[in-house]
Amino acid sequence: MAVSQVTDEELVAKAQAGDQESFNQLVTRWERPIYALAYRTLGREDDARDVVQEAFLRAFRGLKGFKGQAKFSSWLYRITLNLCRDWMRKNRRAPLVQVPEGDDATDLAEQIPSSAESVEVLVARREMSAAVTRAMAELPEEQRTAILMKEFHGLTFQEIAEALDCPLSTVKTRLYQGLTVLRRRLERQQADEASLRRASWQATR
Amino acid sequence: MHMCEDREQLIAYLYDEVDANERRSVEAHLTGCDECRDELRGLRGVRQDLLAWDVPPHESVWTPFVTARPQPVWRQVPTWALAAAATLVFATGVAGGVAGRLWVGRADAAPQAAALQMPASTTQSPAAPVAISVSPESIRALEARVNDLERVSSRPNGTASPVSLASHSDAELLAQMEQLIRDSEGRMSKRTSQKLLSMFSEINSQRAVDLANVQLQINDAQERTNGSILAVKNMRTEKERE
Repeated sequence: MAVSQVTDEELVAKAQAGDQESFNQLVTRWERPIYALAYRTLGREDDARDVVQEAFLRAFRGLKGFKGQAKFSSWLYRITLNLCRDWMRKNRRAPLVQVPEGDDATDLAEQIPSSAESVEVLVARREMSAAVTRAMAELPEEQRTAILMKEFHGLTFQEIAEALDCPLSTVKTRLYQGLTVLRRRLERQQADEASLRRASWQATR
Repeated sequence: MHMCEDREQLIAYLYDEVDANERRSVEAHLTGCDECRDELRGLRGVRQDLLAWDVPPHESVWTPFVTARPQPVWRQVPTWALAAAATLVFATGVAGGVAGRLWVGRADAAPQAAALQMPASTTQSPAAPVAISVSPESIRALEARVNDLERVSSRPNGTASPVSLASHSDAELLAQMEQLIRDSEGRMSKRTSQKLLSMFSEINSQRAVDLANVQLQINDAQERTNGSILAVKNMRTEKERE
């Protein structure tokens, strides 16, 4: 389709010239990933919504000052992350661990779209999602951010370096450290759960 | 640096941000190093686990800008506001006329009024001709004041532009300043009369409302009186029948 062939840079140029429709298109393009970043950073939907809204407003206001030194998306990620950081500082707390509601099997059964996934798989996925949320929340902020951008937004090392304003090698180091910590935590959690399951299985015999 | 300590390279390999040479050298190392193979397996496992981290579905948080249509401004203004604006334009015309006529009588007083507001450093009697004893400082001060007045009061009229007083004779300066002062005071009195007029029209409309209320109450009272008169009449006719 013609719309998808327009690059961000072209839309930015048009928006800078005063074309609001082009800015709307940029928002449509980037809202989902920006929301996901804010949600995974802050851990709560309401806060994520506020931050996303503010991020796009700031981008709109600052568009004239955006000279294309970095990619538009990196710039947008940077604005969002700064807002998230401000938010956490203001509210003096680390990201919240908000585990989605409705964990019982009947609830989940209703949500299965086309029985492609069994209830057990879905439950396991929920558990893993909660475990990841917890483990990520405990990471130091710079490691968490690097992982978020690499894993969930597919940015290159270079783009992350631009968004976080740090050297390329720092990005790789943070990624390695963060992933290593996560690996240990998740392995430990899985081991705990496995021994719990074993214990309850033995108790029922 | 030895591969086992160079975790940056392993990370680059993990995310496939390496060139062909780097990839070959990492893979060559991995075939002979259990530790690094295990490390890589562990990192891949974490990446797999991370995929489970869902973001709840959400609606758009952005209200798109509506592109402005090439529509005349007055189309977006409600009719009552148009009517009010028309009234105001008419009233301003009238007020301008009135103010203008008032102003003619006062025109001679303007320079002196201005002189009285000048800094105290100028030593002149108010009655003396202004041109003679104006010092450069006071001119600059006055120029600043006038420019301020221009800025504050004249944007919509667009008549005034800041005038440079640098290279003119005293008489020209004075004439220009008098003109500026007249202009700005004219505008001020125009604004005052506009304000007065809007006050009048407010009072008028309030009075109209009050009058209408009074009329309503009178009507109400009259109806009640008529009612009681009718009742009395009825009573009387009934009594007469009896």
